Amino acid sequence: MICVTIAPLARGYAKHVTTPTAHPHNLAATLRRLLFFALAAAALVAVLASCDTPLTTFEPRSDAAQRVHTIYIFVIVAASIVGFLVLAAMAYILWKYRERPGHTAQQIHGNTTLEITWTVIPILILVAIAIPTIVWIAGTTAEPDEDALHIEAVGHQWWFEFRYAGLGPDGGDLVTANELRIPVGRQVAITLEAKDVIHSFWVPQLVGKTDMVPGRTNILEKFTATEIGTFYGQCAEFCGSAHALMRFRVHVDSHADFDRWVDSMNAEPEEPVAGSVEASGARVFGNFCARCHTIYGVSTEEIGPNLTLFGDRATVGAGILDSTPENVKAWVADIRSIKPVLDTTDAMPTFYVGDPDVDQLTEAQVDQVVAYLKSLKLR
Amino acid sequence: MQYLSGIDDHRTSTGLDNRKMLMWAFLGSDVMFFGTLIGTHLIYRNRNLSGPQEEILSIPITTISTFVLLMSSLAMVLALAGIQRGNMGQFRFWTAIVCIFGSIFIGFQMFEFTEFAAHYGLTPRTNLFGSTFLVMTGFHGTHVAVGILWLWSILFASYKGKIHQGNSLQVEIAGLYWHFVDIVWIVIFGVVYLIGAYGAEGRALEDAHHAARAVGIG
Amino acid sequence: MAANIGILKRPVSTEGVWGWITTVDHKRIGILYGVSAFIFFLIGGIEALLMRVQLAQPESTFVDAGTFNALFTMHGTTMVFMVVMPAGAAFFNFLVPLMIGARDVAFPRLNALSYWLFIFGAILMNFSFFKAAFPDVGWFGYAPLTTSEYTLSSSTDYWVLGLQIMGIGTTAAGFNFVITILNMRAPGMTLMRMPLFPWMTLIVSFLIIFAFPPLTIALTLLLFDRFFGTNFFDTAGAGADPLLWQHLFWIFGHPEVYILILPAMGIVSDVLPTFSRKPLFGYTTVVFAGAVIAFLGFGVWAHHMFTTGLGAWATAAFAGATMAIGVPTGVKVFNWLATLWGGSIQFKTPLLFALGFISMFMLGGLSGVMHAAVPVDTQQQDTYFIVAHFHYVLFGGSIFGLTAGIYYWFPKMTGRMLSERIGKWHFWLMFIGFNATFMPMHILGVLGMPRRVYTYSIDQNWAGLNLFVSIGAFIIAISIALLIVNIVRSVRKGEVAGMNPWAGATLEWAIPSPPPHYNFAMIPTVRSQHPLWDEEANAVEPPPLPEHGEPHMPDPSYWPIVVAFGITMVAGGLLIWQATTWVGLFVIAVSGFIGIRGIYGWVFEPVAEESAERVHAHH
Repeated sequence: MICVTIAPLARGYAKHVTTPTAHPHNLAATLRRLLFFALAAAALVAVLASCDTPLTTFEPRSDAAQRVHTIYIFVIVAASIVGFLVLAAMAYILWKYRERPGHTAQQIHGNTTLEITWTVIPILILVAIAIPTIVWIAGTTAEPDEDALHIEAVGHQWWFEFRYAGLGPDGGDLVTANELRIPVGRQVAITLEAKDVIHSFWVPQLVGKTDMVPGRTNILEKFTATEIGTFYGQCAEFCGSAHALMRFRVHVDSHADFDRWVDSMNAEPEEPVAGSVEASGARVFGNFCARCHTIYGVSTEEIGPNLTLFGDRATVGAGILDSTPENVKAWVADIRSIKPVLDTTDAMPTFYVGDPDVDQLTEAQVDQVVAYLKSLKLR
Repeated sequence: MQYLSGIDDHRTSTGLDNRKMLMWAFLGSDVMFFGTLIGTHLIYRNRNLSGPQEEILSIPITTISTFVLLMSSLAMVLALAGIQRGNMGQFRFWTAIVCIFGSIFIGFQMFEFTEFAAHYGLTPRTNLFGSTFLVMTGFHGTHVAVGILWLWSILFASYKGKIHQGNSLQVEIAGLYWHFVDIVWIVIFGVVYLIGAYGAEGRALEDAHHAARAVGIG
Repeated sequence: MAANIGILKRPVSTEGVWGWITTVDHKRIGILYGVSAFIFFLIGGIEALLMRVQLAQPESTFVDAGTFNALFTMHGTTMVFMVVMPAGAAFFNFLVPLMIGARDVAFPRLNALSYWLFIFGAILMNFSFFKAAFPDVGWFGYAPLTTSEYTLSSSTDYWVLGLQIMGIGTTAAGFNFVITILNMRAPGMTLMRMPLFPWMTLIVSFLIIFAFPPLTIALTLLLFDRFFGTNFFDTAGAGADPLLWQHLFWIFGHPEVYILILPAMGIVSDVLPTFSRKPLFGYTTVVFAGAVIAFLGFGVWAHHMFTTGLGAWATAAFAGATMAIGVPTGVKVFNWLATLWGGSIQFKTPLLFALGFISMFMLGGLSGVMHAAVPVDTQQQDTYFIVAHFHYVLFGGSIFGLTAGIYYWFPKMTGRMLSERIGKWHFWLMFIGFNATFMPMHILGVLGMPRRVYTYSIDQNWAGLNLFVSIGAFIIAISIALLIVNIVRSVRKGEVAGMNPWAGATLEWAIPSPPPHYNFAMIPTVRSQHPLWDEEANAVEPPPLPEHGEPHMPDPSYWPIVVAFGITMVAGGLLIWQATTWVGLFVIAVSGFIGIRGIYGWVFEPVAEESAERVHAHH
């Protein structure tokens, strides 16, 4: 609960320092700021573990994450006990044998029995940790369930592509990007690939990370989500300038919702009403965006993320911004103001910055295409 | 503790000369150097997407160049024996032979490289085999070339009286290096040429069997 | 006799700047290493502070993504290659000959070459800041991100070439210290009578000799890919395997971890007996534990790659090997505690830092065991938990250990004591700041904060902890300022130390502080592991010296810096070649000539002038 009060505080603080007018001009302000630092420091350490942190590794929501979590807790407890005992022993020795009048050092050179003892004890502790580790590793080699959902995840600089084998148009792959949808209670078997450099697939609450390596196909640990909800994912291998902004979401749906989504993805999108903003947007999309983006039934290029049912996505820009019309507009107009994207051939162009030399679209056209994209919704 | 009588003490703890030990340490390090290069080559075997690979290696020609390099090691032994006995004539003759045989080996290598480039279009940029093979053997060739330069310098210095029976250790150290470079080549010849080309032949045979079966004659 | 030296007359003076440039005295080279390492420590520290300012709040715009990536790349590269390694080398140089009873290292000029290659390589890499930008590919430069396809700027070329040059220097130093320690020990000092610091130096030197070639090759392959279009890391075009880089890098990289920590273990093993007033407990065990750690260190590299898809059984094998390395490490900790047991413990500043080392390093070791458990590693890899872990090992371990060494041996190096009062303030501030900085990082890692992110969003709720961490980082900075004050003040006004201010037992305390350039007027003979305590436990004075003359020492030389300059400028020529081909080729040709000329000059220059014949005959 304290968390609820802390989070806005942090947010307020962030605003406080980023707003130019809020810079401290006098001693009082400086002192206030120092006081704030001190208070924040003292308060936050105590409470943050209880906060709502969507990437936490300590609230497993799948069978796989739960298995890892159990071992995690075991090693933390084991390591903490050892650490505490050694530190306590050290403190005792330092106090007992401190230099003081009438006390001289005993000239001891060693003791074989003791040394053998403290060689054997760590071995026993490490064997105790090794056993669940090896059992777990053996478990990862199991074949996926008969009815497992097979997905191929592909890392790109700096977004995620997800391909559902056999669920797409004409029995091909069903492709989506940056927001993975899976059904609750059904095993998911994901293979990992990369288009350019090494990335890593990680959804802490559902499954530990495995790298996406170009030229290799890696197998993610199979997992079955145990709770409906939305979970955060993040690229966990440094992959260039925008690595920090390569995130994604996993929506765990009920079976019915998942099936409805698959059907909707495969259905032809509705034609926008003639003369509407969306209709103009569809034309802009066809002339510009369709060069790189697929919308099933509209376009087929796969250079950029698949945008089918974009209107239902929670985020834009690989999980970094809420998909509000303003954010989508900012993204379409000038991607580089949001993400440090390189000017490579596959990178999205800058469409509108109000400079005729750069602009490929007018502001009105950007608004139209945003309206069109937001209209692509589940039916 | 006590003190040693006398001001300067130049005995070493092991009795081995520092410089000889330095050469041994360097060679130990060089084992890792070539081990890594050969390992890289082996890891990338059969990963080529296109272009020539091991089947272009010529065992007969390389056997000759390997033999020449082996003989240079023999000459090195005789050269060292010469200077250690104070026989400068023997030392100079065999040192020259080492350099000449080493140069012949380099000649074979240059022939091989140009042949691969001319006939198969193989350069370090062509494919993985081109990169790993040429860089690995190129580094070995560079080691041989450095050895030749070193031995020429020693030969030259011996005419100026700077190399003589009293410091034959200089020759011994150069000889250690030379034998090592020779041994590395034996490993490359065995692992890369013999096993590699044999493997390539084996694969070719297998391919032929498959092809034969495919057309119904196998 | 100077006829064969050519254009450069042999330097005769050991005074002034030229005296330092041409020096071959191991103690001066040690000081050069130490001062350079400290300057880079400040640079790397500033890089860390800038990162902490950026991360103190969510969605900060203090620096942009490219700058942040450059900061963490250079922070890591600087701290590993330009701080902890040369700081270790500073102690190797200054102390190993003193501790084994030698007048110099085995190859004094090679020693100077090592230093000049290190400093030129470091300068070359940092020079990228003025030419392009700082390298921004991470300190372990994973291919294919580092290939020219994905790294458009030339900053990566500076990174590769700078590391390569520093690596050559380091390898040369490795040879030098292996031979110095095996061959230059005073009469009676068997290997099993050596103090722990030379022992750990010997082990580290072997690690350097065997671990650096794989890095050299990896960098060479990457260099050839970037400069000449080879295919070693071209995944898309040629089918290369990006994991090749990771294997080669970590075959180097894991022994490197022990290269960074073993010198600190050696220092602590020598500091503890002095301030407990009793010998090291289980000397043989501590020595062999160090050797076993080094040996196993070559067999655990793939634990950096548990999440890369190595396959189940390779993963299991490396997990087992990694856990095994925890055993000798644990044994060392227990032996250190047993050394304190039964002692009469004097809480002087060097001991405080040594105790800081033991406790913090042990915590780092325990968190290391956690991610040896592979399932746990899938949640910890590349998060702040890992950042916390290796800072406990490398800061809590190496830096605390090296700082213990500074306080312990500063009197020997300068002849004056550091202030105990400032020293204690320094220790407690650094200890508190260190834990404030790195302890919460464990929690951040548990809460899922990935490494190497320049920003994070508000809804992650990592802001408070990050702010706390950043404050901790500035506390560390204040403690380092105190160290500077202490050094600057004590060099001029510190209490005069005398020969053996701590009543230490090892040979370096048997000679004046600072030592004369020949170290030992008479070479001592040794009967035990603690020669000064032979007659009487905790004795202070060595036996009186008989009448003696002045020993003859190697003369200074220009050639080491000339050769280092030639090698560095060949790399510079390669960089110019990227931009303007013929200018580059010209620079390569000229500097190649300088380098080779330098080697010939070196070879035909006698070690010491007047007595060339005598030295000759000896060798």
